[in-house]
Amino acid sequence: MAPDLAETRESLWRLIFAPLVWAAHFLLSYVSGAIVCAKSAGDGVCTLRLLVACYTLLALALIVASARRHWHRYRAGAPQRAADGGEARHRFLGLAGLLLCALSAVAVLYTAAVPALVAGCR
Amino acid sequence: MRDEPQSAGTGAGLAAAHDAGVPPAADPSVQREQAARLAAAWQRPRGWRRFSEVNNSAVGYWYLMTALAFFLFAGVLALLMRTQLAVPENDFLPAGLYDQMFTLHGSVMMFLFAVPIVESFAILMLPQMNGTRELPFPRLSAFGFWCFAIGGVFVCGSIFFGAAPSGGWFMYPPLTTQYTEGVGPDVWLLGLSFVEIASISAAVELMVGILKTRAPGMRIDRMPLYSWYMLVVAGMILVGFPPLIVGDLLFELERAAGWPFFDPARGGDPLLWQHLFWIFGHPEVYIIFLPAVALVAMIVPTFARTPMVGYSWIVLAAVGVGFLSFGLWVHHMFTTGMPALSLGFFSAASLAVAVPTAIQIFCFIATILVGRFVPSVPMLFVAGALAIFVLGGLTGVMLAVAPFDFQAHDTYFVVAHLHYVLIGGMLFPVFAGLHYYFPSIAGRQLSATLGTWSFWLMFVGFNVAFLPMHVSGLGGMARRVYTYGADIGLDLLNLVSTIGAFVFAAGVALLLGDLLFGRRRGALPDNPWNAGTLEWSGSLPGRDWGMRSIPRVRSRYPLWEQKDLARHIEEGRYYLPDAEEGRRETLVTSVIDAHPLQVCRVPGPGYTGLVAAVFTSGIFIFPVFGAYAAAATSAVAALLAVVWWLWRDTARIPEKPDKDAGLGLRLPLYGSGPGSIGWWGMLTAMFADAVAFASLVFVYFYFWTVHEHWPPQPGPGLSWPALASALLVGAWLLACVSGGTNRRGRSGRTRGTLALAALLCIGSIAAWIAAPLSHGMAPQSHPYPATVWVLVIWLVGHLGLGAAMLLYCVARSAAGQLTARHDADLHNVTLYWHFTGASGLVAFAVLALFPLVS
Repeated sequence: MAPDLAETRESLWRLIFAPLVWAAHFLLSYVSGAIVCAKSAGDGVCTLRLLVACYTLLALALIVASARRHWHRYRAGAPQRAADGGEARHRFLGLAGLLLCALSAVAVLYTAAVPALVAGCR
Repeated sequence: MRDEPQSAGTGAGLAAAHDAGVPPAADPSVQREQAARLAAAWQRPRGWRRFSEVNNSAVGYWYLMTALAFFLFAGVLALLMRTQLAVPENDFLPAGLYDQMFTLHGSVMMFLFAVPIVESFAILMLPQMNGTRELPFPRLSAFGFWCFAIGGVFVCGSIFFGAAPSGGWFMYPPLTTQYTEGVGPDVWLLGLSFVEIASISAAVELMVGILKTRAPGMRIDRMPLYSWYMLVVAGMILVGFPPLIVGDLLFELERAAGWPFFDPARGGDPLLWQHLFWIFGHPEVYIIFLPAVALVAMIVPTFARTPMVGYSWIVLAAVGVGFLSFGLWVHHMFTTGMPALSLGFFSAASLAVAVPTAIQIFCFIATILVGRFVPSVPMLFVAGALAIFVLGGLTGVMLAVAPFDFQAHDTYFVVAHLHYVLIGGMLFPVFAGLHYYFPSIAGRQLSATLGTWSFWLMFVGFNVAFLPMHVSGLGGMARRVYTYGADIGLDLLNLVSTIGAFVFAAGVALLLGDLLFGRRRGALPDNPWNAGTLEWSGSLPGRDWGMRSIPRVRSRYPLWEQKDLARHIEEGRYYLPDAEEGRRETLVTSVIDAHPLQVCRVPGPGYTGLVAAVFTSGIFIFPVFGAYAAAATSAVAALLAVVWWLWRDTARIPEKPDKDAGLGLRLPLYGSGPGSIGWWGMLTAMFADAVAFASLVFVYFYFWTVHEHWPPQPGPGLSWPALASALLVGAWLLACVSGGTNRRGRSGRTRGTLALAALLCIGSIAAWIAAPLSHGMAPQSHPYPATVWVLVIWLVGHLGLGAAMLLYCVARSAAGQLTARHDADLHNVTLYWHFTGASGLVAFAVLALFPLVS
């Protein structure tokens, strides 16, 4: 029974992997911003821009990697390839995961735009 | 790509065979006997014993009615306030009473109406939608309901003694710590914390219910959209509510014991409360919005006569909104002087959340366009909801732009925005849901004529009341002020708003009048709306057994796509058509593919939940009046009541190892570890607990960012925390080891190990307390010692509970209830210890190691 449950939990975790990456990216950016503004008297915006750019590249790389896996799952579950109805589940989880990757990527870019556009702490 | 392996003992080949055809019906006389036994097992108690009922249809109905009563109460408060504001410089209400009214109006609508009523729909309908009989923890539902009812009456009742909270529904300090007299803030903090416990218990129930108890074959891609939404919402409650409970704890410690978390004079920070409140408060809006949209997602396909367009897209929207809504909280704090950069992050997320929100609305519109639309009262409410919500959403995007918010903050523009969002996004869908599900709840349809009238009164009244508020807000009408001057030119707009409010109220009265006093007209067909989902498979009104037999599901809209399914279910052709042992039973299934795993016996009527709730209420209500001894007595009684409850109802060893579940499938009656739903319940509850602990750690590091020197004084040292952690790890390891010992059948040795673990745990408690005590840390002097003490108290409380659990297992083992094969209790306690052990190590790092590096 144990391998079955490990497997199933992993599948649902995989679905929310991209939003989790967004959450981590958002929190890191916000906390870094708060610390830079609180501890460096407002002159650390360049540091912050660099930091957020690094977070963003990392986050997008993770999201793209996740999107690739979801794309394969989605393709593998296509009706013409599927042997039985059970494959539809993979197709669904693949598509939903892919869409979540797209949404998370957009939200990550929104966050990344902030230090690029806002001039300083005040 | 990996497939989910078939579960052990489910007879996969058998299941596949059943997928192909319909199982044969039993002889009619056998069917009748089975139905009689099943009805007897699910029979509701009569007379005064009805309060012992725990079945989801009874508890859900009580929840619904109680929430509607609180809605009426808060609605009357709104009408009184609108009467006061009808003309300038009115003296209908004194300022102090007006303050209490707007505070209670907001708090009651959010905590006692919006969240409970959407949970009530879930408790009522979710088991049938998922094709099963009952939620996994019926007594927890009952416990949650009684907590909600007692706490709600306490909070609402306070206004009749002039003791209601008056600082706004968000209770900002220092207004509520230094400038408010009386017990109002305590009523709010303690009363609503108590209600939040009910919400968290419902979330645990719903999450485990959706993941682990569905009809066989209802794979994750066949779940009704309602289940998807509620799964997201349950997760959001588990993440969103604990920070507020932590905030309440800190706030009450400041009010009752003078610990200066929010007092700037002693180094505290009032903004910390705003963070903790809005980390809860903004997701809260989505916690009530998503379940209401979930009702829309069930109603729209029924009246478009076609499956929902873009099932995956709706799931994307639900999950996406669930996540993004946690990145918005600071948009309530745009005017607090936080750095522009920080505001920018939250502004960006506030704009991004509009994307998934809009996606689901486009899916609804597409479904209506694709299908053959059938007009009806529920659809009327849905259409009104979409119109109003879109307007509120658009003003929301305006307010997400920080410079605009600086202008509109604390004006009636925000009042208009939030009512458009909440009434369009939550109230209208809930009324649509009431019309839609009333046949199932009460066995009669609400009148279409009265429904149409009430809709138009509400829709017109709402817009007449709230559209002018956009203008009056931008014209300078301030929120939460009991009157306004005659010279600012807002007389007419306010008068119009008041008239609109009364028209709206007339619509509500018409709907609730029909609900309470309406008569049944003519015969009611089963499935009156021709819906495709399983909650409409039975005869009306719904039976307490939920499902006559638990079907095999092969599609998203089984009643449309599986021919004669409703009749076959009623003929008892599927799983568990009988209750041979007279017990209430339902199926436990696997998470992704819903393979049947276990026959789960759920408890029947009993007073344990009610008794535990009454004593728990004492813990929260007595401290309001400073009666701490009574509160402590109540806490001990509550603990005993919970032990009694667990001992009687949980992890009972069945009289036989397995039973025939129907269709030739034999399933075990007992599960332990991940195979039992109790383990899943513990996992979800401990997840919420871990979020609360993380919030406390956040408090510690929040102070680090606002103080130049943190820690500002010597901390608890290294030696005592190191000793405490060593003892804690020892207890944790022994708890883990005892599982193996017990499985090898050495019960005497298991008891010894567990008792030793409890002893180490008590030693750890003493060492943790000694750490700040021996360094003379005075919690009233500064937030640093206060935060250290709170972390220690949190840990000590958990260790105390952990010791009690270990001793409980010793007693269970001695009583023969915990054996080598039947070890669910031990698995659950070990799981608790994983969380507690990990929090202990984090606390050690924060309290003892961080001062060394900073």
